[in-house]
Amino acid sequence: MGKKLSGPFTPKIKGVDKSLDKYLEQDVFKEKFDKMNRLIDKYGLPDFDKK
Amino acid sequence: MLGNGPYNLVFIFALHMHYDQYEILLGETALTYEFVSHGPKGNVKKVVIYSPRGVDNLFNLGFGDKNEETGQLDDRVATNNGDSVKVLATVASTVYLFTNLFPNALISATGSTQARTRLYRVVISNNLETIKRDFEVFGLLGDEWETFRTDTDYQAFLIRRRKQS
Repeated sequence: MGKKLSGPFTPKIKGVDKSLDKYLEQDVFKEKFDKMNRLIDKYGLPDFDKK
Repeated sequence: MLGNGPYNLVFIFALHMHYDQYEILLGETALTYEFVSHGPKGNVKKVVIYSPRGVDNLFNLGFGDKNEETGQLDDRVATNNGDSVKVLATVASTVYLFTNLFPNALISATGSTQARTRLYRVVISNNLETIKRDFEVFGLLGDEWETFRTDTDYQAFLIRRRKQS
């Protein structure tokens, strides 16, 4: 597991609802995801080693 | 959405003041999250999804309202529930949770509209020092990714969790 979460964005977890995963099988937010995928296909990823 | 003017200033100020958040439910995969916005428009379910691209450990971040009548998700609707700061802080909290579970994930994001992309830029800019403690942040400017700078109009964003020391 990752490091302990703290700070201003610490999540308030209510619980787990496995029914939420149905969205992964649906074409949700398709327009935005397609746009993002096009940008990644065209421009690639950042050069993480570049400072 | 937000434009220039007093409301925007209030929004930016509020982001510095507090990070009240909604409680979140997460799916078993930890790729899906849900919370309920409460406000004058009623209770509105919000869904956050980290959609795996299948390569490069890359996930597209999307979030929007759930239409209770149709069951459809809408990332273009303006909820106007008076809780934008709380909603965005809650979405930000899912980024922390998600990357705690998937520390090597790359998260890409863009707005569903230009106005929302600008809004995300403003939110990142005004919390950059906090975000940079845990994340590397990049912006797509023209045809190149660069380390995120404030006051720069990016068309997309990409973040990854800093390696634990």
